[in-house]
Amino acid sequence: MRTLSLPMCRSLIGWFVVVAAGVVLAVWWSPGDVSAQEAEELGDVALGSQLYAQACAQCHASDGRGVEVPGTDRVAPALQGREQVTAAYVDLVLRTGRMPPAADPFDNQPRKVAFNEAQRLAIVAYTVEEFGLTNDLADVTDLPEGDPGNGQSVYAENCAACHGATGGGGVAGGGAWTPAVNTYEPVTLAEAIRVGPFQMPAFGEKQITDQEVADVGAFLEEVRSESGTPLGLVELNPVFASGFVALLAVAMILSLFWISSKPTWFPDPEADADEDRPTTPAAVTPVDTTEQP
Amino acid sequence: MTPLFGKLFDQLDARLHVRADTRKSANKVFPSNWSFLLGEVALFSLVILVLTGIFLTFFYRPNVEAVTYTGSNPVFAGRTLPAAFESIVRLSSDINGGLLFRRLHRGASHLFIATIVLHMLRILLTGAFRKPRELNYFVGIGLLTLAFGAGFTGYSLPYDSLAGTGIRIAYSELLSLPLIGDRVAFWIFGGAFPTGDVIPRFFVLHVMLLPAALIGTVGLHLFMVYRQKHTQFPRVGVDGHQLVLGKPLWPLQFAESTTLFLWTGGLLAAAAVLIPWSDVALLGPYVPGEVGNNAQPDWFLFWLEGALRIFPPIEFGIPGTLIISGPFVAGVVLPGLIFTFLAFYPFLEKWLYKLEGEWHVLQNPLEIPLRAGVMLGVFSALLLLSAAATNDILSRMLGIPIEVMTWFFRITVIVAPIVLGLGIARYARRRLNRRQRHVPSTETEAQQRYIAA
Repeated sequence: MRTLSLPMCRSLIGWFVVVAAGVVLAVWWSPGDVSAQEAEELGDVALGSQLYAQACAQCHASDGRGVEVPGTDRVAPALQGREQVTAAYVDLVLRTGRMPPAADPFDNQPRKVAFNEAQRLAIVAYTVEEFGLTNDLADVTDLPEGDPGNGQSVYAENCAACHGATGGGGVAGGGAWTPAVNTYEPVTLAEAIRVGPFQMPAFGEKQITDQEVADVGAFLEEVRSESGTPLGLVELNPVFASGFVALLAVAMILSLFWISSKPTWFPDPEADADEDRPTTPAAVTPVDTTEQP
Repeated sequence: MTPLFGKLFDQLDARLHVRADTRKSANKVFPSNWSFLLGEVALFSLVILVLTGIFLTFFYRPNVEAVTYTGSNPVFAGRTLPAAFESIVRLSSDINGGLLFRRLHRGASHLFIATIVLHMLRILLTGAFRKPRELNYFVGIGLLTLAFGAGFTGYSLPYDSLAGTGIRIAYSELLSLPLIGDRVAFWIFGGAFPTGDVIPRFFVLHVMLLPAALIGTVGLHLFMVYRQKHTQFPRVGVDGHQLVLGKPLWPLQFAESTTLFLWTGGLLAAAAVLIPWSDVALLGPYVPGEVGNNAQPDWFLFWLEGALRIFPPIEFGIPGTLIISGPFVAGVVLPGLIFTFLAFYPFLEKWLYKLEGEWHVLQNPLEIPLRAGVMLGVFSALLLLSAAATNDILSRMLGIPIEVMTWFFRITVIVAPIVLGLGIARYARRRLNRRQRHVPSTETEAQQRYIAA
């Protein structure tokens, strides 16, 4: 058996160092570990796991691939392995109450929010750790100070066509409705703009900058904080205004009954003949005896 | 009359000899019924519209040039806006009483048109349009048209995003006219949309031509009522063809009308405080090319908007030369037919029932099967078309897809008026048969049953 020569030994050690360093680096930078760490910063993964099993796993499966929704023939979307689904996406659908659904999950209607902040973040943390979702939450929700004026014009150009000029929501066709957005926090709006939930397209930083996202949030905040009239009414869409016009007309007609005369139906001599007609003359007596023109 | 007023009147009479004419007018008898006051409310609304409109004209800037808003509204402070919209924001946020006057003006415009429509319904249902009042009925239809014009131009002037959308639709309607569309649109708008001319032009229409025409036509309308006397409801035991029963103009009718004027003003003021009729700041200025979801006109144009929304997207004709498009049929032909039909309805009734002589006593619409059927048919169609204009909001509220909604309205707007119209006409005919009566052809004949009873 021949001994290893020194130069050979040195070169092997060199290779060993390189490989070892590579392994260490690879372990250090592995995405799983990183997300595990960040997930813990987000929320309680154990709680998240429990809540996910209760509220989400029935349709999205315990491994996040999405299975047939009970009672329908439609398949729930996968959470794992889709670039679009990020921590912000999960946070958004929980924050707005879009998930978990009380009834038909495809009905596109706004719902009651099911989880508080700690529970929501726990679920987000769990999905980040378990399914390896990108954790973009901090990037998306860290917003500069917004300018409502610029926000109005950014909103008019990018959002009003679907969500209405003052964020009241509307129709999107094909049984889809756009939600009212003037009730949402700037953070919620920022998440939605970036991830593009459901039919909504995602808007990247080239289309709407972070500053503009903050501006839109500030504008809708302004819409929300509008105090309105003593009845609490803010700007009326013409459809709702038409309801108030009807009320105004009814109020006017009722006042006419009071100022002028109670409504009476056309007299019916045939029907009246059977009854005793009142013998007192009509209340208004002056008679114009001239002939009709 | 108070002594002072009496002395002043004596002095006036000594110079102008007005006593005899004034006495005659003061004794003029007005039949009394709540529905006869609907027109009066419209008149009072017009007075309030003119007064509040003058105030607004002092501050409104009729052009769309870019100016910088420097007022206190947090959304628009320091922003460059079209001058028209900027002046609206200034009126609403910075000028004392500006928002109140804007709401009063808008609320009064709603009441103005609503009472005109209700007044017209009363005229149509009770037959107040018959000889000798056909002429005044035409004047009334003219007034309604002018009111629509004033309403639409007024809705457009703030140049908010909804107003701009309305102007854009009006421009497209003009374009849809076969052969001459592009030239007419160019002529009225002063170029291809969007132009800087449309707001100044609408302003002239809204504050000068249309109000002058409205006031003049109202004067003509009232003169004719005065001249021809008011119609009245039938009374058992009274020959309404010969006698008019009612209150004298002075003092009873005068007192009632004054009360009504004050009440109308009060109601509108209360409504202006409670209901944000005209708040448009959050809608933002109009940006050509951008349309918000759920954009509707004011309620009185819902029927037109509804027709445009549900009419199928078809067009036919010779490409490049003569094109008959959906918007033309739904937005021009259909309203033209409805207005023409309503205008000439009095002659249809006269011809069908061979009516003769003058008519001064109102009739129950159930006594005339044609009228009952036509009115229920036409107005149910208009109501359904109006509902179709809200299809997006209905779809959202009811959770029914917009496509299903559209087909629902396409079918019901044709079927329901026919079924309802024929149904009520049949009911009216059977009612007459049951009582062994027929539609009388003269008023003397019609009054027989009231006198005999």
